[in-house]
Amino acid sequence: MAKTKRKRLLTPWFPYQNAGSIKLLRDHADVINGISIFGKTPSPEFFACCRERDIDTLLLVGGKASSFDTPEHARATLDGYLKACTEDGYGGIDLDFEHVTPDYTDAYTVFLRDTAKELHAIGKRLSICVGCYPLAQHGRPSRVHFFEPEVIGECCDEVRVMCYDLYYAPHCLLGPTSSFPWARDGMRFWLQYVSKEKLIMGLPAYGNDYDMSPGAGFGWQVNFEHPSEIVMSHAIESFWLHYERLNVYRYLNHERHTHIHYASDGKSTQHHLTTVEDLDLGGISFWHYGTITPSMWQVVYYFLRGK
Amino acid sequence: MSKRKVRLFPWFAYQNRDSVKQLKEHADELDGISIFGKRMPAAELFACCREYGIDTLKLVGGTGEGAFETPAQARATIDGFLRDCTETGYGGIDLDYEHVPPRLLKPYATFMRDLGRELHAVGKRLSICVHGMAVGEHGRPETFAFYDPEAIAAACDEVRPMCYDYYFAPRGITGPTTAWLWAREVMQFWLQYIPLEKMYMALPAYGNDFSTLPNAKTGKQVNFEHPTWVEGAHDIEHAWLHQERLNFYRYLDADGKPRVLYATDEESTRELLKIVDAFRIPAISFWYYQTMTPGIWKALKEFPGIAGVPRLPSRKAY
Repeated sequence: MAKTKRKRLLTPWFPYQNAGSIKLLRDHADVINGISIFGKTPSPEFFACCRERDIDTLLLVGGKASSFDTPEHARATLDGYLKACTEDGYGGIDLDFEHVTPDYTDAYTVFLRDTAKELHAIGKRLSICVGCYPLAQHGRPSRVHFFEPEVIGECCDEVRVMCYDLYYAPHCLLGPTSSFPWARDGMRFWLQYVSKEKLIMGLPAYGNDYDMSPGAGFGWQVNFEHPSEIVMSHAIESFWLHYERLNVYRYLNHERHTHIHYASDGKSTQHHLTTVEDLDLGGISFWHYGTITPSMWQVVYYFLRGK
Repeated sequence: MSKRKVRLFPWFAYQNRDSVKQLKEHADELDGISIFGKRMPAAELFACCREYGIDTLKLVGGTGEGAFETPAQARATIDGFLRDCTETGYGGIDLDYEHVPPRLLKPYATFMRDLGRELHAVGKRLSICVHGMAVGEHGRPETFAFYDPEAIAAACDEVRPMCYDYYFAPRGITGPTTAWLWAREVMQFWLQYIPLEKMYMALPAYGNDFSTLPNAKTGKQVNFEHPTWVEGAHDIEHAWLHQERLNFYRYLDADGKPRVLYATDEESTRELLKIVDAFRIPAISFWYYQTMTPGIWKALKEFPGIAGVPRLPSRKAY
């Protein structure tokens, strides 16, 4: 069966670094429907590889309000997007504006509509990355966001809900990057505004790790699944968080500092995938392709192909 | 008539005559108490409750084995409860069987139905404590539980989902006793089966505290709101857990050992009361009265209650 006809899509974010990235992509090219590329501009060979393997490409772009706050700024930004699509070979744009204040909601609405119209006119696609916003965390979305969910549902071909950074380790003392109920709540929120076919559930391919010594500061985002992967870690204890549906570990590092590690692994990913199935969502993504672990790949393959 | 729009009906630990003094400290706030303890309350406690218009229930529990497995056992248990109500002065029974084998689901439902009927016949009430079960946690209830929600709805006058022990500290290595999203799901679950007017929301009056040292085994349930309440605690760091909606502390104890506290306090209670408000739950409870901190009482006193909810029937109507 052609990948594009599969019921659920796999479209991870992909860090392009150099010619070696082609090899990385090929490792799992047979199950990937698309990638949203960040990092350096890929080589023509990379785009050729994607075309050959029927992998859609998006350019991941971010920025500040100054990218669209005036008609002139918006025009210049949009021209840049069109150029990337027509000259570099991207199949579309993946917007990832994350820290804009609600003051710019109207300007962003205009920018979204214009970007969608002009990309669609040349046969390209518009995707967007949005936060996982259950009411439990933020209350009514209009109080804190700079976009209108209805406008996103209207303009964008793909809506990628970032079901991670529930607790952003570099700014907090403890907590997982995602949890089953939180992510499910977030996807339900977006289903009110966006058709399910367009909704992509963005999953973490990293865990949160904290040094529990007072004064140790905030935590780290890490791409190991289990503390045994850390050199000289020891005294490892594990505990299944039944509501969050993830593994937590307590262990000592090489300096005998106690760490708490909230894992993202095959098991937590498998539980998130039940949300995709239960809500009949369009597909999944991972932040990011380069840190997806073998056990995650295993459950993803099973999810997509049944084996 | 109820003193407030949202009834306050905590569990109450009876120990001795000093318990009467403890009760009087907040007697004006209370609508009822569910009494537990090794000793039979003194007549003075019941008199005090009558004086302040406080309902009384007797909290009873166990595994159910030997209590209602057979008709003869059920008869004996019901007779004992009826005696408690008619001879001792309790206004009813509060069932807290928590670890009943699922094979006893039907005997338990039958027992509950019979007990409810016989208590009502003598003008007494039947309450039940139920687990904070949620679809997110356990899947469909019939796969694990000994509860028959429809039987509970039919037999009981009050249903108290215990929105705590989300992580039971004595058997875990980290985690709070309750969390906002989970507690909301618990109430949503039970509201599918139980008429709103019978629903209580049972909240914790304790936090979870853990050593973070490996091999520290498990944690403790504690009734302090902040590490500063612990003698010698120092190097305290704080974070607000925005999903769980509670305060989290990392600190060193008097021996310099690292610990974490998931606090139950004014702020966490205020957040949980928003669920009471959102679902128009008519009554709340706490496990338990004696560990309710000044912060919890402050959150309660500032809670406006639920506008538009009809007042409950007077006690005489039960």
